Amino acid sequence: MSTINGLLNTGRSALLSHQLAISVTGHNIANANTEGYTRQRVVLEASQPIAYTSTGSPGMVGTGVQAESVERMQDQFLLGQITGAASELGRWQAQQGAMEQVEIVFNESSGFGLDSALSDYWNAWQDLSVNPSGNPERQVLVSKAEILASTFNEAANQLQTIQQDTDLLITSTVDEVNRIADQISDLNAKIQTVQRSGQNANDYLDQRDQLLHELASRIDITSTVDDDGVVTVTLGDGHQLVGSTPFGRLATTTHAATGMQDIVWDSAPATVINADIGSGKLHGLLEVRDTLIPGDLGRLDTLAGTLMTEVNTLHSAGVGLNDTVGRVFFTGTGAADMALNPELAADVSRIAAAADATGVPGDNSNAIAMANLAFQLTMDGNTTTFAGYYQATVSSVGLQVQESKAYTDHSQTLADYLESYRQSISGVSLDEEMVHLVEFQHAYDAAAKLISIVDEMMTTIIEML
Amino acid sequence: MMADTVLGNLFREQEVLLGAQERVASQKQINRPSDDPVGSGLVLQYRRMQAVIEQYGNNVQMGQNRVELIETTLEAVSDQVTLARKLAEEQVGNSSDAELRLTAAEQVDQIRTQVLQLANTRLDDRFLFSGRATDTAPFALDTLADTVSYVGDNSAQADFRLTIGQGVEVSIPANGQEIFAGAEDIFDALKVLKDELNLANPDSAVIATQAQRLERAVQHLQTVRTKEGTLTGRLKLQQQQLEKLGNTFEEMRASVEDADMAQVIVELQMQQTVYQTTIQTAAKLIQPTLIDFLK
Repeated sequence: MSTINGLLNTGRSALLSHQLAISVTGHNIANANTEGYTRQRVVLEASQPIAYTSTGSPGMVGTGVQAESVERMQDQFLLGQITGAASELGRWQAQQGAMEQVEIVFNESSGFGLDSALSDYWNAWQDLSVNPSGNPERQVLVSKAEILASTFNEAANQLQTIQQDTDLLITSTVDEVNRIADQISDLNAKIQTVQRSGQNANDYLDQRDQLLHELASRIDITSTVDDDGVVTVTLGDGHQLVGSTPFGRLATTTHAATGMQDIVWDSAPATVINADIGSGKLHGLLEVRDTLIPGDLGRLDTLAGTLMTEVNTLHSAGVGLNDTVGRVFFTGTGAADMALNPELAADVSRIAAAADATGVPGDNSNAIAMANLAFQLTMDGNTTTFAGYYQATVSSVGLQVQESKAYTDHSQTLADYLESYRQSISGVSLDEEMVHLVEFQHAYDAAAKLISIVDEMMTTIIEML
Repeated sequence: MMADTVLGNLFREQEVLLGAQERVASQKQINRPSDDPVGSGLVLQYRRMQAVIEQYGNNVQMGQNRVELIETTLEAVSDQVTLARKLAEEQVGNSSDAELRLTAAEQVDQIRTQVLQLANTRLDDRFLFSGRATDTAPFALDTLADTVSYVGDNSAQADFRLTIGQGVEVSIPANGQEIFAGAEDIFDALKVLKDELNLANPDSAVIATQAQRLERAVQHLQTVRTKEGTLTGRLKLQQQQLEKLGNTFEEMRASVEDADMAQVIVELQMQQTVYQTTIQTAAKLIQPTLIDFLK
């Protein structure tokens, strides 16, 4: 049966519940700009009603309100999509960053200008063909050949430097992955404790979601949450990074042949899992280090190698001014170690402009043949010239960068869209919070009014005595 | 949530604005290979063609210098040989005036020295008429026998090869034997003439024969000079074509690489307007909240 004391109790429950609601609203406002914060809401419900009379007459009387729980406003399915998008974004951003550096190497205006060095080199042979016995022409040829060789060297070195930088980034990213995994494990323990006590660990859950997001941007993960609220994070190879039976942490091991770092589990250091990483920053960096840069380096090496072979074959068949030894023009095996034969630099008269000894010094046929190499289809299975091959290389690097930029833009757009969708559900709108604040304040005022009216009622009764 | 969207838009517009600014500053449509992978490949190709055309231009210039020098030299040789021929013709039948004959002999000797000097002309320390043996004087005077003989390169490859275009070669005559003794040996004719004139009783028939030989030599020189003339025309034509070709490649390169200034500036201004509008609307959007209207 409803009593005056019961009324007081109803007022009290209303006061407390709305105080809690205002407190949660305040928490929301306070975290309006906190990254990864999920809006919280008090779920209010009417308290257990009691019978109007003890005689079983129909009708129940309410006993006030109670805060059933504090909930996070979130779409459970969104998290998986957001982490997936974060992985793709991380992958393409990493690739774009490195490939833009590669692009600089192949940019004629800001880079090493391999193309113009090549043109200058062939033109120097032309000059020599016009004056085959001329010392200045020979000196110019030597210097142009040295420039060409050192341009190849620098371009190759620069690519190797980018490759090594990428390798360092891989190691530090592995460290980050481990650090984030540790933090997620810690939060798992806290959340489990809170959830077992029947509470919602809202803020811990937010922090963990945020960490999962950061982890996903580095490496592709699959995450599942069990009934206790514990999250299990599985990597591409099926092993648990975080969970009830974690396989371990990631580590790196030096590849015997390349000297680069391979990614392994610290519990199974012999099994390289590079190929099992399907997305995220690590995948992007691995692609750059193991596929894209070696591809570009390989093209440079092929170009330098074929150039040296062709030039050397012609040169060693010709004769110098006082020299019939048949010397090679370039030494080395690839772009990185290509160099002008020092014997020629030491004595430029050894440069073979003439085809045979009878024509010395006025014969220019070897110089002409050399200059004509520029137009011969020597590359790509005799389908293109040296310069044409380099041109295709520049275009393909341009395409690689363009592709990674396009994918970055695309995954950025997707990530932005998902984030704004998440915000529309989970984000704090100050306007909405203000409306709630006003609502709750009025309800709080009304509850206080109720109590003061009950007080007056009690006074009335007491004065009756 | 609104702030994130606004910020995203601002960044995007800013990036487009920076791109437009870069194109205006560099006056180039392509600033890195990824701006236009195929286009930047083409630019390389056009630049390369320009470089090679410039080189062929230099080669042609060198060829023109050489041909011009040959032409001048052979003209002087022709003049001298014609002079000797006239002297010979004057002396046919002159058996009385020994002094005049000796003077003529002296003159012929001088002409021979002169022609020898001309035949040993050098361009940049290289002999013009000794074939590939550019460091050897093509004609040598044997002072004991008083004969001039060709010691230069007399092979089939003696002419100078010059590349004036991709796969285009011209050969500039450089075989002194062919030029100076192709039809008649000029030096031999001059020597026989001089020796005959120096005799007490010269044989007019011999002198007349030498005059005829010199005449044929001049005609042969004329043929060589006509060829040189054709060569000069060919080189001049090639130079004009190279210039045109160079301009064409420059235009092709510019059409791919260079920015149309009017267009990029208009783009920049449009983008500026877009950016400013974005900023202004952002400012208006972000400012008001419900708080402003409560109380």
